[in-house]
Amino acid sequence: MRPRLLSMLGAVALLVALASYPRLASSYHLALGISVLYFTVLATAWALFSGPTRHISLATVAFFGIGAYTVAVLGEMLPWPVVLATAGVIGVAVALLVGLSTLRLSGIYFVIFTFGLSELIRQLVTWYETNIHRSVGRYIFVDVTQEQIYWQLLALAALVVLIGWLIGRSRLGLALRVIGDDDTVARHAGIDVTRAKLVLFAISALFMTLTGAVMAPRWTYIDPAIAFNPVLSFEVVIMALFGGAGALFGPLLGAIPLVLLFEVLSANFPNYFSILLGVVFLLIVYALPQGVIGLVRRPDRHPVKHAIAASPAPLAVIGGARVEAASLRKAFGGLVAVDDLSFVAAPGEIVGLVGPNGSGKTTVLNLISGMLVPDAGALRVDGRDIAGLGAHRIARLGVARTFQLVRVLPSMTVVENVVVGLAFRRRPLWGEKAHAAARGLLAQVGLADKTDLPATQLTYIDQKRLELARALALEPALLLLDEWLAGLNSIELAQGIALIRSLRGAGITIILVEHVMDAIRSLCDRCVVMNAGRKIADGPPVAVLAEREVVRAYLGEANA
Amino acid sequence: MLALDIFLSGLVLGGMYALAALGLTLQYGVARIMNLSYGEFLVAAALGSYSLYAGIGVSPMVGLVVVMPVAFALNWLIYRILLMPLVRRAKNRDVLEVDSILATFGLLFVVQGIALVIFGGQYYSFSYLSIPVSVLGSTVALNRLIALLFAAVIGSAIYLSLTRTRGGTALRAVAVDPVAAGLVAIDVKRACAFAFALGGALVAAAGVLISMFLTFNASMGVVFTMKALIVVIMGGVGNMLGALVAGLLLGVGETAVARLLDPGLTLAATYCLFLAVLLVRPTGLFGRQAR
Amino acid sequence: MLEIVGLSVFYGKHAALADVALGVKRGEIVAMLGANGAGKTTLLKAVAGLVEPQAGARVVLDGRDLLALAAHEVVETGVALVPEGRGIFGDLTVRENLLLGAYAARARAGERDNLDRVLALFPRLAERLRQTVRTMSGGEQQMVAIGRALMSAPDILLLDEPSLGLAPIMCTELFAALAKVRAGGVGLLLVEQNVRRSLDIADHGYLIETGRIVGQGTAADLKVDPAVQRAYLGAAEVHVSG
Repeated sequence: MRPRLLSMLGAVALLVALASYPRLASSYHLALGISVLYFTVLATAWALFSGPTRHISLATVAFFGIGAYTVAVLGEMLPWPVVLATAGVIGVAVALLVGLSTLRLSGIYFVIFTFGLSELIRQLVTWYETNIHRSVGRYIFVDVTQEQIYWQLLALAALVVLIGWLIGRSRLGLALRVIGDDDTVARHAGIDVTRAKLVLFAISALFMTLTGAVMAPRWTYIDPAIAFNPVLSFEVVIMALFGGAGALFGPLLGAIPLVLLFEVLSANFPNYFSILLGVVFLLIVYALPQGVIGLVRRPDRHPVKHAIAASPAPLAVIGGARVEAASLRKAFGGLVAVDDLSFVAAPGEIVGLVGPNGSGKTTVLNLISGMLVPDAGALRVDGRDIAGLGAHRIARLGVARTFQLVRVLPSMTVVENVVVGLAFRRRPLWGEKAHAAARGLLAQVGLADKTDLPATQLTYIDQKRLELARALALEPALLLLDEWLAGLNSIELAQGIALIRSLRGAGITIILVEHVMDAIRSLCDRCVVMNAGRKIADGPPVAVLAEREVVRAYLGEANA
Repeated sequence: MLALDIFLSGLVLGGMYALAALGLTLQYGVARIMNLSYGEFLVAAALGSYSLYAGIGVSPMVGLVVVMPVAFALNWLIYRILLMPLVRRAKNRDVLEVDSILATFGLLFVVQGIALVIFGGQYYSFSYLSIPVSVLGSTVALNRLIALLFAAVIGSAIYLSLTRTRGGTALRAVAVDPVAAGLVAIDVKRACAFAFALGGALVAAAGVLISMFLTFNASMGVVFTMKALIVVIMGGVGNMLGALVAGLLLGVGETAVARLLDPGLTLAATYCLFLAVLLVRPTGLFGRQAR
Repeated sequence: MLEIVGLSVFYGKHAALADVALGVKRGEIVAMLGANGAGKTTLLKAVAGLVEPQAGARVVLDGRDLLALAAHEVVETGVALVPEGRGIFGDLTVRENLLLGAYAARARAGERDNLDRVLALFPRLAERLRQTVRTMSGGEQQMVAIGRALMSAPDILLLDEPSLGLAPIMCTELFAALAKVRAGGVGLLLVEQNVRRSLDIADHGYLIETGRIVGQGTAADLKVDPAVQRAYLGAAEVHVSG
């Protein structure tokens, strides 16, 4: 633990040094230090949310202004800590309101909403001031020195960095990385995506609000235009992106040079400030070769832990789930993809779901895994009705799946991908236990020697194995395999079939959608054949695949 | 009669919004650029129209003839120079949307900055043809009627060319499915540049028309961008009829709130309307259900 | 004549197509058979310019290199693709879709004649020119898609599973129409699910498995080749029961 102790001591020393800065600096340099600090807090808070989720928030100044205005209104009436607390509560409340309304919609609506949010709040505050308070500007007479503002900001900065660091190491941080990589995988791993984003947005907003509150006494006079100045939102985004929104200290690194640059620019070219700001921003957007998104990826965080041995985690025999579909129906516009489908998979059975292209097989899997909601009919897992539950709830019930186009999480290593499966299931594992269990699972699928590689470096079949390991990590009672054996040559196919067969021992119910008929014949107890959304056969594979109607469905009839 | 007053004024305002939204529909629906600097070009056109009128006495209606082609050329250049590199490097549509938001965000500050340098922060207005006219028992200023008329003419012209001409239909095809459009020999890149430029010309037209009867300053761009975005999304992205209906709805609603409640709450009302529509119909009033 | 030599396509590390070679002449129908995921769609996309193949491939139409062209330029040379899922413009009318098919410069002069020809081929469309395509049935949409591709006056028509989701009666109409198209002098490369029907109208066929050509021959030969049935249904023995 030496290095950890050393860096903690270093951090404390740094804080002490920074805290003594006001005593040593002139008032001009102190003002500069305050500027650097408050932008650091804002930019770090911004990156806390917009970094991992890639939802660009343009609402920074809305929360900043709320904090400043709370101080303007309450500053002389209540003790300072209470004022700060009130500002924080209001900021979080607004964040939750905004988040709940817009985070469930696609990201672009969120951006647009935040774009106008500060204008909206400014208008509301102006209206309130004009009609109820009867005067638009306010004087702030709170007795706070510049030094005290500096120290409060320093505390906020330390706090936001600390929280960012803690989140990064926590399950929430992992959840956010998964969400940033692949929203669908996140949901199917049991992550409540909306709640994760909401919590993070609220934390981010809290810091922005507190910063505004702390900074308010710097202005003796405040009005809505001053408090809700949109240039602030813009500058914060520039700094965070410039420094790198994906790294914890990125925004800080972006804030320092840019604060100084903006100082110089606004002092020397006050009339052209807006133009120069825009140009600087454009330069940043274009100078990032992979686009801004590329910089917003978090680098590999977990140090390689060779020391942890794989725990021989044989799949616990938890028993399989019983799956019942009754008169299931799903239509997309005029196209009926699944039409009055009923079938049963008994616990521990391996059921093949086959049919020609477009027969609705993948739609059935999507209905079971929660990606889609059925229009009619019932879907039950172990007697429990799952239609309409979100994918993450269904995943927590023990339903895992693989995808037709392999979805490994590109920003993570192989072992981290599997840890994702372990961290959010109904009996979650975390930390070293999770890593050990992950390695055990990887050994089971044949990836023992590739655990620390980036997931993107794996071959196609190895990526499929990884996806299977991640699905198994969920401790599923029901496993859905969507064309898992597709695209494999004969050797890989034999290995794949053997791997699936080895899952029998755990008693998991498996439903596999496949086109590779040899696999169906050798693996499946039963086979359900679909054509044009309907079931046309149900029984042991050898019998079913020889039925005339099934052959006709696949090969077509000869011309009448 | 108050209701008629509100309705007529709202219609005029709504017509402006609808025209602006039509341009943004082209930029977002066809070229897939979420242009946050859209409103700045409206304001720039308004300021330009003012300069022409106050400087050399050119009426706004003649000014239209000058401003629209200039705006077209300028936006075409912006797409080719500024935005095409982003289109080229974007791996998928989501990445392009985010990149274009950020780039146009930067552009917003550049354009607004230039406007501030040239015109300063003060408010401008000029009354051109503000003669009261009696319509159905209510009084409306002539300039507003003319603005509505021009907006209707321009909007109809665009609508007809988008639906009746080969090129216009090609643009609509690109909006529906850019890949399939390539399969019918449509040069999608050129089509996008054209659509973006045309959108810029439309918003400039809206700016010139608005300058006839509204007071404006160089910092008002953001509000117009927001309203255009809201109208486009409320109406269903890519749907021209939706943009028209949503624009008129917004115009009337906003005027009603301003007259009956408080002019300071118009943006709040707009946002509430926006949220309400989105929560009930997430793809907009006329939007297509995504799979 | 469309010639393909040494075509390989990789998606990341995964070889979707490996060293494929085939040819399609004007006035003939070539069927592409194989299970799903075998690479058939990738092949058509590579020819149409939607997907980048590995260097070293040759895709040539009458001597013109197609690989150097963008998708919209490929159509101008006379190769039209009817993609999987039809690729029609759902929000536009039948008429608009068909007329857009003639957007290519090579097709503008003959637009009127081509339209008449397409409507003669698919009389059902003539009744529904003003209908929005999204509201039409799958079979009718397929007709619009093929009609639109024909409006570009192609020499070679690429079709990706045109009978997908079609009721048997529509299938009959569809395959009859394809035969007529061939009679008009167009060469067809047909990727099809309905093996029997496609071999009924095809002249030649290729069998593709995990990205490689594993068999070819005349349609008549392939009709009785057990390898074909095996490719779709697996198992060495084939006994149809019931």
